[in-house]
Amino acid sequence: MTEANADIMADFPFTISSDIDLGRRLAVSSVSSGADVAIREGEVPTAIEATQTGATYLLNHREFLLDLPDGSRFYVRNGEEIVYSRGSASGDGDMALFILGTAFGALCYQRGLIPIHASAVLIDGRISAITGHSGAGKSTLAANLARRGHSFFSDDTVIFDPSAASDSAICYAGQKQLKLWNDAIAVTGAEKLDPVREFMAIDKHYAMPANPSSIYRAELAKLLVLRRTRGDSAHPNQIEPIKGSNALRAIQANFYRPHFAETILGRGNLFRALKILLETVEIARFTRERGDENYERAIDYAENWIASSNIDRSQ
Amino acid sequence: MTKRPLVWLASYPKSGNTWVRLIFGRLLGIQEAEDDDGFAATGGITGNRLVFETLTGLDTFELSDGEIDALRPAVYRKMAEQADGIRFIKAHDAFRRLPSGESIFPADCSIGAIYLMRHPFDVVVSYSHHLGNQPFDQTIATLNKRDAYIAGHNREQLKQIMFDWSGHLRSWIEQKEMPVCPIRYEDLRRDPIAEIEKMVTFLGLSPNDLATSIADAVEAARFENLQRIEETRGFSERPIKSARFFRSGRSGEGKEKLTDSQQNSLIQSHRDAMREFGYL
Repeated sequence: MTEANADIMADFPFTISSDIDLGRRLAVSSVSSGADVAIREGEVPTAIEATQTGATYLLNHREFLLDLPDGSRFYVRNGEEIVYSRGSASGDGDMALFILGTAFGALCYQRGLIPIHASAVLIDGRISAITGHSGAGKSTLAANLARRGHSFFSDDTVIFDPSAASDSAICYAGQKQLKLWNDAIAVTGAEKLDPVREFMAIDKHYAMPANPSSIYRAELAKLLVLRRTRGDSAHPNQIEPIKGSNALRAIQANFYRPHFAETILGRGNLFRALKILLETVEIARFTRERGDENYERAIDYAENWIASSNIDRSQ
Repeated sequence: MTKRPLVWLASYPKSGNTWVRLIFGRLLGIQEAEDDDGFAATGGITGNRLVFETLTGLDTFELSDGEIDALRPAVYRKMAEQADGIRFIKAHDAFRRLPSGESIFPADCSIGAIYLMRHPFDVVVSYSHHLGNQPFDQTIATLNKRDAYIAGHNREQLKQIMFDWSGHLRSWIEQKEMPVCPIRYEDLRRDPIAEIEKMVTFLGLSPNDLATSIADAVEAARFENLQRIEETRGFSERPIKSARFFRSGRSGEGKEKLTDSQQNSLIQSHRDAMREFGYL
């Protein structure tokens, strides 16, 4: 085990073993024996008794089953294992993407952890996370903040541990590498790595951010929710604090695969977790001026809020 | 038995689709969750990533176009299963099939399609404005392009393959899998109440299904009212380059603004369909 891996192990709430190469993106440590979670190729059940169903998945409190169009299938059970069977068109990279994406999200919920759909930087050792629906620009904004010298914490997910003994919201990095459109990689000063999908099915690559951090666990201090503009022309940049039920809705809507949360965690656990986030995290909504020509100004604006002092949280 | 709550509001862009959705939103008393001013189009659009992602648990930006297409029938069936009443879905997509032969829009969960068409000359003028005063020639090239599509890649909406203007129209009108009700935008402008009545009858709606009268719904969604609300509140479907979504709505503008050669280019590509639907 490498020294870096040993650090991770101390910091991440579980370990995994995997028979497929998951790359170096994940913050969770990989061990050869005695892992908390096993990821392996095997027989995937054809169905499970579901309390929630989607177009591609079946879900209950302890099990999750996902089917992809090419026949690739994933079964996540009891927070202990992810079993996959490969479809006709999926290479290792594709399998790893879905294992570390939707399947890993379900696994986290099964283990009582809440993946927040966010990319994040560290400010004075605490996490400032940017959330929003897919395509809202979380990764690109976080990568740009890293380009400006902020320490890059996590891409795509920030994993909240509601059971951590702390007065604050303790979170873990989801992935240390970015997934970015090719045109965004150069402008954010990130280093281009492997394609996200094999056979270049989409124009996205993994990328190492400009200023990566080796920290895997920290307090979540701020959550910036990227909001879609309503089409009002030349809307200026605007960051408004959100509180109470609005904040609650904003957080919950931006969990990773948010509709899995209540089914897997149960309502009580879900609301206890939300309460911690509401009480300890500064939450604001960012409506940014649209248009590429205004983007640097929008980053200034977000950076200003993210990096501003938040010493007095009682106000 | 599979529920059949879906109605496809199919049209080439800028042919009155949003207007009709707004009228039906009022008529059926359907409001979107984010709607705080009674000014939301009802039911969604085929290109909505969020709906797709909620129903698949997948990130659409990590899927190929082929994978997204393959999932569409299942997504629409799930949407139908979860609907608690009639559900209108805007489709700028052409009616088309997967490599397996299955159609993307499953008939087994659909009431049918309302197909809205508009004179292609006027579509060009409106669409050009919509795209930030794009030159007419460029828009005409799109209307004449057999494999034209909108969105996809890193854009906010999923990719929607449209075909060319008449290919789009024929794909919906000539498919045999679900009933289709063709409506001309020009007729809708001239006599909206009669045309909406036609659609209400097509959908098999009874007076009990309606939250308000057709006349009131039409009045609430009058073009001038939509423009006024857009001015004061903004409209979420307005593209960034466009000054306004609800611009003119007038018929006959294309004839005035397009040159003879521009008009001829459209006629050459779409002569039969234009003749068939009274545009020549």
